[in-house]
Amino acid sequence: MKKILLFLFALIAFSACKRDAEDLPTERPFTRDFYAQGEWRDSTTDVNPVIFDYTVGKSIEPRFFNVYRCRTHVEILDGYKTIRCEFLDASDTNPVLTFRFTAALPAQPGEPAGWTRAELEALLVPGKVFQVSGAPGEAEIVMKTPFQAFSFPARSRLSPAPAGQVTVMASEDYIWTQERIDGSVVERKAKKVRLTFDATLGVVDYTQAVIGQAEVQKGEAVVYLEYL
Amino acid sequence: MLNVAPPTDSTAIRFHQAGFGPIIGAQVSPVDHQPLRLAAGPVLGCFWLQPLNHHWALQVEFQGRITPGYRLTATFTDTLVRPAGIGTSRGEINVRSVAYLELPVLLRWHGSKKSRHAWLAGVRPSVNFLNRRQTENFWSAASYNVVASTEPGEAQVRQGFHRFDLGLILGWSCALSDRLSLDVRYNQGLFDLSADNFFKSDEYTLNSGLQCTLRAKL
Repeated sequence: MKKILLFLFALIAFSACKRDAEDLPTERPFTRDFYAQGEWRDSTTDVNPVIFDYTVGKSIEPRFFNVYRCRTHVEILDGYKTIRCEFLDASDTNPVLTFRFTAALPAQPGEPAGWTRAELEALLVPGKVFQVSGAPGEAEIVMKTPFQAFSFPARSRLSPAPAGQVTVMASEDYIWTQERIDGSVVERKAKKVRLTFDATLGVVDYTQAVIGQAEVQKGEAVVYLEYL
Repeated sequence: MLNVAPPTDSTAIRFHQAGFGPIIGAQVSPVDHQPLRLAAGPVLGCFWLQPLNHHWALQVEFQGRITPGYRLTATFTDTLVRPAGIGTSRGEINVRSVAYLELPVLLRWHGSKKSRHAWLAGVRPSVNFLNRRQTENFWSAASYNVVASTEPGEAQVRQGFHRFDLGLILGWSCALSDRLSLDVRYNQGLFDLSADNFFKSDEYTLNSGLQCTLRAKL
């Protein structure tokens, strides 16, 4: 009898009841929604490629809270509508990487610079390949390469030997709300577009002399393109 | 005054008779299982003893004790990433020491009136209290008006550390004199006090331990 009681005691002791907590706080992990990564190298030297990774939300320097961001910019250049996604570091005026797409047809007189959802969907069809010369109907890659001692970014359309392409892999809607400083809330609608890219880049000074060449390879990006 | 003269084996042990008095002692409890860490804390209380027949008695106690040394930490993090920036909020809850109020109800058995020894068994309901100063803190950062949720800072330690508990007791008592006894018992908690999904760990936090106390009958 004593042995049975001891056994029961041990059984109970080692099978303590567990209860879960309720109404726990919502936890959202970091999500790598928008980013651009790949390798670039200075074409004029034999230096090994440098890997770059501009992930929106990631800290630029470990000790500081400045993070990479991205934004959409639209304008009409030389009569053609353009839309570009700029990846930004601590600077708001000099993006580290830009993907610009130009409409194939000229803009209509009085047409707004912004793009509609239908226009973006017609432009960024999955599987479509853009050359990187920056001409109408094509794309351009602009990169602030670290090797430059001058303030001119490297551009695919300025490469002495233009080559490369941007391929649209997928496109989906992306909607989010932004709270303004005055407390008002605005809903932003955009396309989240996954791309692969590679290109040769050229750097020219104010006299249009080529002062640097680079190339970017194995590029992959998810870009943010807002529409009206 | 307490009679500290040890009773002889030929006399009846008066400690087994009805009465009440204070309890003072200590308990050693496991506060972590991997690796095993023990912590000692004081025990203070009182008891009431009522014989039921020649061998059995009912003993009800009320005691308070503190167990320090817990290292339970719960963190909740919310991250909101948007094109314009990132917002992060983080709440942290720590449990370091716990105070218990317990009401053991025991059956006490002794072989004969002359026996100085007695065996104890019973149940031990308990309620615990936490020091709020050690429990909660909250941190939040936002860039470019991207603000994460404040829910991580709204978590309460009571969501994850259960207040009530029940345990089983097995013990042994030795009458040192007619009015003084030594009590050694093992107390086994039946409920895991820490919710696994709150502290994100499947470790058990049991209100268990080995207790040694002196009891004086007034």
